[in-house]
Amino acid sequence: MHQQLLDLIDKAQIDIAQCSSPNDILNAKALYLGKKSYLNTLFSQLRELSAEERPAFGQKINDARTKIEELLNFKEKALKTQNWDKQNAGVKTDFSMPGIMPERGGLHPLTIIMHEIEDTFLSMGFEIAEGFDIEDEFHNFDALNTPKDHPSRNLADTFYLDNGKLLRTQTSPVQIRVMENFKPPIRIISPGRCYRNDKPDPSHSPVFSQVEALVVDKGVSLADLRDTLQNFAILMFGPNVKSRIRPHFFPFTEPSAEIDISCVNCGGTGCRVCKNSGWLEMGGAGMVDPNVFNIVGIDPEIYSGFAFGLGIERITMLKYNIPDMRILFENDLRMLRQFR
Amino acid sequence: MRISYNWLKDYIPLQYSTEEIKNILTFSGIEVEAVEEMPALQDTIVTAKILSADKVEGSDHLHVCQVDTGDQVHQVVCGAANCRAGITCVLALPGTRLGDITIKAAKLRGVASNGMLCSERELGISENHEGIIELGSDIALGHNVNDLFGLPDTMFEFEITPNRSDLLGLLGIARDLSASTGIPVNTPTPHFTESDLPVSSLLSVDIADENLCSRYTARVIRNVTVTESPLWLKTKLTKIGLKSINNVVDITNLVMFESGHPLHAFDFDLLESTGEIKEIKIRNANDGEIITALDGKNYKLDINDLVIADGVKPIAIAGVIGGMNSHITESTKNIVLESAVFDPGSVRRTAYKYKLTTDSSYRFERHISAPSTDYSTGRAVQIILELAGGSLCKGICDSYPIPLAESILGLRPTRYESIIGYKLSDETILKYLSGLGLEFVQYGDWKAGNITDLASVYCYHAEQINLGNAVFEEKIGCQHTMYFRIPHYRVDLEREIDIIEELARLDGYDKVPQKTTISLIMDRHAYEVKRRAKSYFSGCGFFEVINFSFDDPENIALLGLDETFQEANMISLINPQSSNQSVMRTTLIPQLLKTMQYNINHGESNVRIYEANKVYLRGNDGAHSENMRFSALVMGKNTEEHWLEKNSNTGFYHIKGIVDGLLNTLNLKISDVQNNTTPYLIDSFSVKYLSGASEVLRFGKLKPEVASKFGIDLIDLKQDIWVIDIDLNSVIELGRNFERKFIPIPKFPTVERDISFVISNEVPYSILREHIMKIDHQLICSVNVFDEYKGKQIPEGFRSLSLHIVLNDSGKTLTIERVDKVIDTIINMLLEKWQIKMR
Ligand SMILES: [Zn+2]
Repeated sequence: MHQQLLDLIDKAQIDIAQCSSPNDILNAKALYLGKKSYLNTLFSQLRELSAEERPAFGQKINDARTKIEELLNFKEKALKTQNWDKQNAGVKTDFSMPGIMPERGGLHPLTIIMHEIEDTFLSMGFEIAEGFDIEDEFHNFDALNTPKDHPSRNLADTFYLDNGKLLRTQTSPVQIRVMENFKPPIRIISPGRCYRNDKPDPSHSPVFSQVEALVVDKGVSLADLRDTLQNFAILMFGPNVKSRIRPHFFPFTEPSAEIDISCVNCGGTGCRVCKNSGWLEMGGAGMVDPNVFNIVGIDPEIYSGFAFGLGIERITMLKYNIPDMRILFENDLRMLRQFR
Repeated sequence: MRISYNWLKDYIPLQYSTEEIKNILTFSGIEVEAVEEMPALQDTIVTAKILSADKVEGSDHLHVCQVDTGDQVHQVVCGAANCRAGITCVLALPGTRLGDITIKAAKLRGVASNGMLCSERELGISENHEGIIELGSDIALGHNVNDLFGLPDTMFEFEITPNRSDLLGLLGIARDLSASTGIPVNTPTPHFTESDLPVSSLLSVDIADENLCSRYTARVIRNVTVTESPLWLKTKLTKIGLKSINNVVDITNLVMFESGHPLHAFDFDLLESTGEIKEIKIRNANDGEIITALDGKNYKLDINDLVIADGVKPIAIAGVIGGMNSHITESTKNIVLESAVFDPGSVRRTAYKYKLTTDSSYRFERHISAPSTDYSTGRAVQIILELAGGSLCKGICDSYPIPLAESILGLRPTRYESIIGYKLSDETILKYLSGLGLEFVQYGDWKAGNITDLASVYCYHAEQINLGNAVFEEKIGCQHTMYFRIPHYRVDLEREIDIIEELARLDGYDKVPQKTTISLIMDRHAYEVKRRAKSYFSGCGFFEVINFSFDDPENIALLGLDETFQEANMISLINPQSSNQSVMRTTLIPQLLKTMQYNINHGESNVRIYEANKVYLRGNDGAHSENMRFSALVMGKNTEEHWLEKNSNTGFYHIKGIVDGLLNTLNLKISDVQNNTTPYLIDSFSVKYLSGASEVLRFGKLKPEVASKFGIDLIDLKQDIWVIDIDLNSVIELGRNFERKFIPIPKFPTVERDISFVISNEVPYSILREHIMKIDHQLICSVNVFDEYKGKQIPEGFRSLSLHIVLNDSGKTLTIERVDKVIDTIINMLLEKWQIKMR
C-alpha cells in the first residue's frame, strides 16, 4: 500500500506538469482529490485496518493528499502568471496616440510675470503692500512732491472720477500710505494697476500694471538701489544681464534715474528690440526726496531710502516676445493656452 | 556634568536663586539641562546611636534596636545588614514624611518599632540603598541632619560644550560666573610641607612619546592611613553620583571635580621594578598585553593604546582607567599620586574602542592644559596629608618635555564692534577678560596670532596710552589693539575671534542690537488665498483673463441687476476715453461674458475662464470701496475632447464640485447653502453659500436671454453657461484664523458599511448626513452618497439613496456587534424621522 501511494504521487506529478489550462487543473484536481479519486477510496478502506495500523496509514494518506494539493496550487499559480505575462506581451500600443492630459488651464501671462517678480522680491526679504486704485490728489501727486501745475495732473494724462478722486497714475501712493502708517525700516514692493489717459497702441494701454520697490532705513544709499536692481535683473533675466541707471528727473526722487538693462534679445550688441542701443528702458528710480519724507513724517536726517518702479506689461512683452501690448488684454484663448 | 550648588558656593559666594543662577549660566553659554532640588529634611530626622541590636525572634534579618537620640531611647526594628550596636546613624521618627510614605509607630513581627533607620536613598541623598547610613562616632546625638548632608541643596546637570575643558571643574565654572557677575572667586591655595626624603630616590618617570603624553608628574606620600572618608567628603561625592571608595581615592575625585584635572593614585609598594628604584613609564601597550581594570574587567590592549606601566607591567590605561594591580586599598601604606596630561585623540580612541567612558577620559578627551597639573597635585597632596596623614617626599617627578609656551593675543575693540555690532569700552573689556583670568599686557598696533615679541607691536599711539597719557583718538596707520596673556587653562582661546566670542557671551547676547524688525506690512494670508484660488482654478482647466477696470454701464445693466442699486453704486469717469469705458466696474461678469463671446466667435466651444480682480463701489461722502472678486464662466464639456473617453456636458454638480473643491483647498466651512434669486441666473439652478448671514459666493446657470444680450445664442449653440461669482474678500476673512492640525492616523482598522433606502425628495442630503454623523461622532468617520436612483419601482416624489459609511474607533478594534449596533441606530433614526424604506 505504501508503494502504491508513492506511485500515485509520481503519477500525479507527471500529470500536473502537463496541465496547460485552468480546465486541465480542474480535471487533475477531480482525478486525484475528488470524490471518486483513488485517495478517497483508500480512505474508505481505512476502517478495514486494525486499530493499531489505522493512525499511521491515515497519516500517510493525508501526507500524500497535502503533497498533491501543493503541486496543484503551484502549477495553478504558474499558469496564471504565464497567462498574465502573455496578456501584457500581446498588446500592441500605438505610442503616438495622444495621452489623456488632466484638465489644466493657466494663469494670464501678466500674472505669471507678476508672480515671478513678487517671488524674486520676497526672496530678497521684501514684503508686498497693496493700495487703492482710486486715489486722492494728495497721495497721487501732492505727497509725491508733484508741483500744482505739473502737466501730469492734466485731464489728458490722468483719469478723474465723479467722486472727486482720480485713478492712480503710478503705484507710488502705496509708498506714501505705507510710510504714513509704518515706521522704518520699510522694505516693500507694491504691485498693482495704474491708469493713464493714453490711447491703446502697441506699447501703451490706459490700464497697465506696475511694481514699485521702496526701501527706507538708516544708511540706505544709491549703492543699495544699484545692488537691488542688479540682483533683480539677474534673478529675472539670467546671470548675464547688466543693469545701469541714467540721470533723469522725477519730482519725488532726488537724485533721480532711469533704469536700463542690457538687451535680453541681443545681449547688448544692438538689435531691433533695443533700437540698436544695446539697452532696454525698464522704469524710473531714485533716492526718496527729503520733501516726501517730511510730508509723511519721517526724519530725512535719520533715514534715507530708494524707490524704483517697473512696468509689468513691458517686462512680459520682453520675456515672451509679445509684439503688441493690446494682445495682452484681448484674452484670446489661443494666446492664453500658450501659457498653461 | 552634575554639580551641587552648595559645593560651587565653596568657590564663589553666590546668593542667587535657582532660577537666577540658571538664567546667568544659560546666557553665559553653560546650558543647564536639568535642575533637581534637594529640600531640607524634617526635624524629625535626627542623629542617633544604636545602643543594642538584638535579633527578632523568627526573622533571619530583623533586629530590634534600642536607639539613643541623646534625650530619649527609642525602640526601632531594622532590617539592614549593617545594623549593629555602637554605630551612629540617622533615625526618622514617627510622623516623618519620606517621599510618598509617612513613618508610623508600628509592630513588626509583634515587636514595636518607633521609627526607621535610614539609608542614603531613603533620605534622597543618593541612589545607595545597601544599608543604613553610618555616621562618625564623634557626632552629637538628637540633631537635625541637614548640616551633615549639606541640605538643602540644588543639583544642576550641565551640558558643557566640547571646546570648554576649563568648565569641567567647579573652579572653572566659578571663574566664568565671576567674569559675568563680578563676584570674586575664592581659589584655595595649596599648602603643605615636604619631608627631607627626595622623591627622586624612590621613583623615576619616563615618557616614551611626548606627543601622547605632554606632561607626567608624580608625588610620593609615605605612611598614609587609608580609611573610610569623612562624612562631608562622602556627601559631596554621593550627591554628584560618585561612590565613595576610601579617603585617598575620594580625594583624587574631589580634586578632579574641583579643578577639572583628573588624578590617579597608585599603591607605591605594588609597583614592580627592574632597577634600584621604582619606575613609571608612559608607553604604548604591547599587542596582547592584558590589564584588569578597576571595573573588574580584563582588557586586551594593543599598540595603539597608551598605558602607564611600572618596570614590568601596565598599571593603568592612560587617562581612562586605573588597574586592579596597583589600586589603593585600606592596606596601602605608601602612594604615588599622578597628575598628567594625555593626548585627547589617543584617549578618545581607546575609550571608544573599549566602550569605557570615565570621568577621567571625558576630561582628557576635551584637552586639559599641562600647567594645570601643578594646582591639582598640590591640592590633592594637601588634602591627603590632612585626612590620611603620612609624609610627603621632597620634590616632584615631573616629566615635561616641551613646556607650554605662553600665549599673548591681541584684541581690537573696533573689531569687536564690526563683528558683534556694538562698541565695548576698553574698561569693560578689561573687566570681563580679567574676570576670566586673562592678564592685560599692553596696548599696541594690531598683529594677528600669538605675539612672542611685544616690541614688534609698538606704535606711538599705543605708547602714549601705555604711558597713561590722554587717549589719542587720532591714530594714523595703526590699529588700537589690547594685548592679553591667555591663562593656560583656556586652551580654546587661540585667536582674536575667540576672545571676541568670550566678550560677547559675557556681556550678554541680549545686548546685541537688532538692526531691523520686520514691519509686517504685508497681508500674507490674503496673498496666499489669492494665489491658491488662482492656481486651483487653473488646475480645474480655467484660463485667467484680464480685463480693464472700466466698463460700459449699459453692459452692467444687461445683467438685469437692480438698476437704481447699480447706478447709485457706480463711480463714473469724468474724462473717459469712450462711452463703453465710462464707469468703474461693479462686477466682473459683463466683461467675462464679452470675453466668452469673443472666444465663441473665434470658434471655441469649450470655454472655462475666470478673472480675479477688483470691483469698485461708491460709498458715502466721496468714499469708495475696492473689493476683490473672483468670477468664472464655464461653457461646454466637463473635460477636453479625447479619442479614448467620452466627455459629458458640464452640469450643476460639476460646478458645485469645483466650488466645493476651492472651499476645501482654502479650508473654509460654509454654514448654509441656499437656493436664491439672481436676476441673470435661472432660479432653479441658482445657489448661494453663506457664512453666518453674509454671502460668500453664488453660482448657477445663466439665463439664455441674458446671454443673447451679450451676443451669445445658447439655444443655437445647444450650450449652457455656468456662472461662479465669489466674494474673495470674505473668503480671505473666513479662512484667516484657520490653522491646519495633524490628526493621528487611525491605529485600528476601519470598518465600512453600505446602506440603501428610499426617502422623500424633500429631505436634503446634507441634513440626512448631518443626522447620521450626529449619532456617534467618535465612531462615524465619514458618510458618503455613492448612488442616487429615481424611476422604476420608486414612487413619484421619492428617491433611492445609497450611502457609504466608514467607522473607526481610535482606541480599539471595532467588533461586528458594535458596528451592527451603530448601523441599527442609524436605520432606526431614519425610520423614525423620515419613514424611509430600506432596500
Ligand atoms: Zn538688442
